[in-house]
Amino acid sequence: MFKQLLITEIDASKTFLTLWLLAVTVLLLFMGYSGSELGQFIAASTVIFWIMLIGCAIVSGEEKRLRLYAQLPVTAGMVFAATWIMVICWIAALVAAWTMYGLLFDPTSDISAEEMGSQAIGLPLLLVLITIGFDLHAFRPAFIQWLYLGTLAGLLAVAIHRDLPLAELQQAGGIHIYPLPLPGGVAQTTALSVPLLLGLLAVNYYIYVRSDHYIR
Amino acid sequence: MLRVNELRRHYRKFDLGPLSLKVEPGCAMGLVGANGAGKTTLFRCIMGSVRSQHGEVWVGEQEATAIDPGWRQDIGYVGDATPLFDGWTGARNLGALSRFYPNWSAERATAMAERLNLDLTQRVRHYSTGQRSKLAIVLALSHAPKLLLLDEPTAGLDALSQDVFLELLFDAMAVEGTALLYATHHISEIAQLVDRLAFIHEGRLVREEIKEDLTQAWRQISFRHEGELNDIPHVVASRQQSPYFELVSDDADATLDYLRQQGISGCESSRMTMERIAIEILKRSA
Amino acid sequence: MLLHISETATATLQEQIIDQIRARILSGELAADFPLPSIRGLANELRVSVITVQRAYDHLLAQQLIYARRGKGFYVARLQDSDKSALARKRFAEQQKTLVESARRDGLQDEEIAEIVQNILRTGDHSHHA
Repeated sequence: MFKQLLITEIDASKTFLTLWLLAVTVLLLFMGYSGSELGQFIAASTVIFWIMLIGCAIVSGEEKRLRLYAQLPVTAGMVFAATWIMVICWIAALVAAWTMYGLLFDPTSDISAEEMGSQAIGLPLLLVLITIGFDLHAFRPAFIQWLYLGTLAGLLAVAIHRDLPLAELQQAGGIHIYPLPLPGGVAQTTALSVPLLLGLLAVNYYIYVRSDHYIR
Repeated sequence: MLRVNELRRHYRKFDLGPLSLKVEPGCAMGLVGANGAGKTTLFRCIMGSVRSQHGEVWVGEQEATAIDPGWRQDIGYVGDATPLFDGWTGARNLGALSRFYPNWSAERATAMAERLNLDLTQRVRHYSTGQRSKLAIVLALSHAPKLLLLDEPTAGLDALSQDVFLELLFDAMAVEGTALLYATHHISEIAQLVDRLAFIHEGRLVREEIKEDLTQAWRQISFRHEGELNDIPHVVASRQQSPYFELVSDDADATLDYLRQQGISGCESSRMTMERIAIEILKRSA
Repeated sequence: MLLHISETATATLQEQIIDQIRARILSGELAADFPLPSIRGLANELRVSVITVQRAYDHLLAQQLIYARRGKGFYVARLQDSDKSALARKRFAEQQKTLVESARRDGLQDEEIAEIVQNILRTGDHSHHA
């Protein structure tokens, strides 16, 4: 049944995925020919990534779709996996665009592949942190969700503040999610991000399969 | 076909269960209860879209667990607000969801949509409540399910479509031996369909009856009698405007026997509609 | 088998089915050993629940108007004409009992009731007083 579910998921987000690819291509050509740096492209495309992803979730009725799947002969685990496979598709397109931009328009950029990878892994990390916040909705007492979302917002605020001024933010290619500077640089960040991402995905899975799809 | 054992779900202001229920294959059970009695929560607990905290659900020979949801292939579910792909046409919704059911018959789906007079070329976003209900009905019935869970399935349906819907249910029961659990506030709608009625109140099953027992036993009885009459057996409601008496009895034979022993003759007894009986029972359980 | 079933009739659905099948058997319209529709089939055809038909068949079985063959279904019983007339008489008497009681409540004397019945039998017209 996982195959059928994946086909349905692709079917459901087809339009938005195409739109996303189109937007990223247009941005790539536009910024490339106007001579922007790779860092600027990474920052701009990341913003578009978030807008498109949130737009897709709202327009295609993410919550409703999950409720529908709760009636079909698929497990919550399958739904969880299919959703994240789609997210990986979105991120893969983004990373491909970054790489292409680097090769085509800014081959001398001082942003290394490691830095790009570290930046890319930040995206699902932030996404899973937000998703956990939403999925906690089903958990009682209700203040857990607010406590979590409040803490998350606070930590992100600190992280973003650390990245100011804006020029520095662009240079680093987007938003950092760690509130404290990590001593070991890029390699250390990635080494921390990968297990953290996997851990958070496990937590999200645990919450997702234990939550109600209808709130009374 | 459906077995619910000691199902329990606790909420801050509401408790479902402990609730046990059994629907035999080919049997149609009506589920009756006031708003907020827990009917919809019960359906969602059975489907697993709301997690129960205790108890088990069996569909046929399979336990309804979240680990192996194969049992959901045997179920057709029409909820009060079936989630659908709003941006897609009715036909595309059917196409996408047919993938999940090996028994799906596209011909059956089209034939049913036609009988219900449902335009499948329109986007679901533009559907009315009635049209959404129709699509949900087609979705629930196209894979010849062994068990139909119907939670107020006729929301917004016109009288004609409601009749067609009942015909589809009768056909499914006769041809496939489908079992039904059907919750509704409009008891007259299921009066001819169901074999049994389950009454739910504050999350618990308060009564379960064979429909024929109810329609045979319950009677409205009226007679003339000078003087007082107290403790008439099996009377659930009474009105008196001397010398006229008007009773509702849940065992008319026993009540009439008693009245005869009291020397009262000329009792008029008339049968009651299923709806009337159900309302009296609900009144008493409240 | 086309029966006339109405939700608004004074008899219950089950009683209506019993009455009509019995009438067809007693009148000879349904011959001995004639196979009756299956319970599920008749329920579907009449749009009533399975249990309604099942109870009706049970009742007819108890009255020995029909018999069941294991795994095959229900058949019209072989009845002697004397049995048929005895059953018809019994039923007619039961029905008349309530009518007579109701007529007595309305203040009619037994002689008057008998007279009306005789009038009906003679002319088929009950409103006309001799």
